[in-house]
Amino acid sequence: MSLAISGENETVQVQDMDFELVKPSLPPVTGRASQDSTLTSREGDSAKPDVSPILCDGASMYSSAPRSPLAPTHAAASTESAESIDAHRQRELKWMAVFPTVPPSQARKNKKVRKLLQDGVPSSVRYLVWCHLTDSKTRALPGVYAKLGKRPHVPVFAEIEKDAEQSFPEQPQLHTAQGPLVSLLQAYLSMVPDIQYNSGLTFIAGHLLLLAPEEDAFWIFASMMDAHLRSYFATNTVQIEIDASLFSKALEAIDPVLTKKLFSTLFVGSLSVDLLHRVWDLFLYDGESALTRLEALSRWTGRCCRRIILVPRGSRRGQLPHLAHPPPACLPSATELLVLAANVKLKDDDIRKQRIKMEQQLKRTTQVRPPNGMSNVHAAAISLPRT
Amino acid sequence: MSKQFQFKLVLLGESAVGKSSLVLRFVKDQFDDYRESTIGAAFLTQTVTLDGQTTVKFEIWDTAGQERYKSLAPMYYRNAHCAVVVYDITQASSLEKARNWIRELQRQADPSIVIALCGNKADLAARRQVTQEEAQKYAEEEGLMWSETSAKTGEGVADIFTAIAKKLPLTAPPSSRTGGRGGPSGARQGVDLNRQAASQNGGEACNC
Repeated sequence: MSLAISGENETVQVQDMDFELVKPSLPPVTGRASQDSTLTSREGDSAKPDVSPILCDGASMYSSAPRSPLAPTHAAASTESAESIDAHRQRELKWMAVFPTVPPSQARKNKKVRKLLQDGVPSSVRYLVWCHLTDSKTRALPGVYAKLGKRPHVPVFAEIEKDAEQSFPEQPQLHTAQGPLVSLLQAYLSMVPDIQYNSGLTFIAGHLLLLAPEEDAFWIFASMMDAHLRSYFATNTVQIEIDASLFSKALEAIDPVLTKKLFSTLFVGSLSVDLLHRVWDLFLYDGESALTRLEALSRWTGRCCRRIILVPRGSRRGQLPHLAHPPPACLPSATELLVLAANVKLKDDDIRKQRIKMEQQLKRTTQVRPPNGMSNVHAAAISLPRT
Repeated sequence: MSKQFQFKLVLLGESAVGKSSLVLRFVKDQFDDYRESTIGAAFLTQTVTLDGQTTVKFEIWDTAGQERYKSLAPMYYRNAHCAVVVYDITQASSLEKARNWIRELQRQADPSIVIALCGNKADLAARRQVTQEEAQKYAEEEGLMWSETSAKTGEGVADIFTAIAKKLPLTAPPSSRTGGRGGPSGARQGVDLNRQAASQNGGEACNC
C-alpha cells in the first residue's frame, strides 16, 4: 500500500480506504524534558516512601569516563499546583529509594517497580530507571566504550551522520561527527557488526541521549538491543515481520510497512515526547507485550485512535503516522492511556503463542528469499575490544 | 512538638567550582583533594536541626557542571524549593556562569525558589579574583542570599545550608507524610510557596 499525500489538505490512502488528515490543535511539545505525568496519587496513605538514608556519591552512583549528555532544554511547566510538585518530589524519592533495595535483575518482576512506573517517572531519574530495568550496569565494561570509539569508522558512518541531522533537527549537539549520537552508534555497530543499520537506530539512540549521559546511554542502548530489538535489525528480519504483523492485526487495517517503521523506531517521532517516554518505561519493563498491549488499547479506543495514528507528521521526512498531538477529545490523556494500556486484559501468553505461530508461518515464507546481499555476515557476531 | 520539613535543593555552577565538595563536606564532613567530576547528577540527603524542635531535611541534587551536561539541568531543578549556585572566588569567569544560572532559574524554575549564591574556595583568598563587595552587591540586586564557603576547611558550609533552611517556609510541612507516619494524604496540603516567599521578602534579611 502507499501513503498518498497530496498538497496541504491531505488525505491518506491505506489500501482502499481514505483517511482525512486531522490537524490537531494541541501545542507542540518539542524538545521538552520528559515530564512525568501528573497522575494524581492513587495510593492513599498506605504507601510510605522509604526515605531512609539514600546516600550515594557521584562516583558510586554513576560510571566515570567519557560522557556527554544532552537533554531537552525547556524547563518544567511553572503552573503546577503545590500538590503536584510535592507528588513529583515524592516520586523522585521513591525511585531513589527503590534502586538500592531492588536489584536490577529483579526489577522487571517487582511489583513496587511496576507501581512506580504506572505512577510516572520523573525525568530526573528516568535514565536511572532505564539503566535499572535493562540491567545495563551489569553489562557495562569499564573502558570498552572509549575503545570502541577508536575503531575505524563503520561503513555506514556517513549515513548515521546524515540521519542524526535529519532525525533531530532541533538538537544541533547531536549532529556532529564527534557528537555523542554518531559516536554511540559507531561504537555499537563496530561492536555488533551483524546489525543492519537503518535510521531507526538513530532515533532510538538519539532519544536516549536526550536523557542520559553518553556512556550510560550506550549501555542502555546495547541492553535494549540485546533484550528486545536486535532481531529487528538483523540481516534476516523475520522478527520484525512477526511483531509488525501482530501489531497490524491489533490495529486491523494498518499497513505492515508503517507498523514496521513504528517498531524499528520504537515509536520515536510517532508519539509525543511525554507519551513516548512512558511507552518506553513500560516497554523496558514488559518487553514487546507492552507495545502490543498499547495497540490493543488503541483498537479498543476505536476509530478515533486509528485516525490519529494515521496523521502523518507533515513537514518531517518519512511521513510516519503519529500520535503526536491527539485532539483532546479523542484520548483522555497520555497518562490515562498508558494506565489503561497496562490494564488491558491481554495475556502475555496469548501474545507469545500468537508470536510463535506467526514466527513459524513467516519463517517458512521468508527464508526462501536470501537476505539482500548480506548473506555472508555471521550471525551474532560480537566483537569486543581486547582489554 | 517536633516538626520535620523536607525540601528539594539543587546545586548549580560551573565545572570544578566545588559543588560536589561542598555537598560532601555538608553531608559527610569530608573533603577529597582530587574528586572525579560528576556525571549527570548525584543525589544525597542531609538533615539540619534548626532548634531543638524543628528539623529540615534536604534532598540534594548535585548536578554536573560541565557544559555538555547543561541541558540536563532542568530535569534536576524542576520543582526545587531552593538552589545553591556556586562560583569559585579565584575564577572571575565562574561568577559569570553563576549569573547565567541565576538568570535561568529566575526564568525557568519555580518562581518562589530560594536562591543562594555561594563563593567557594574561600581558603584560597590569596588568589581571589572575585571581591566580596562585587558578589554581595550582585546578590543584593537580585534578592539572593550570599556567602563565601570553603569546602576544604569547612568554613561557612553548614552555615549556608542552615541559613537556607531558615529562609524556607516553615509553616506547613511540604511533606508531612515523610515526617510523621500516616498523615491523611487527602488533607496533605502543599505549601503555598508564593505566599510564603512574599512574606519572607518583606521580613527578615538574609542572615548569612
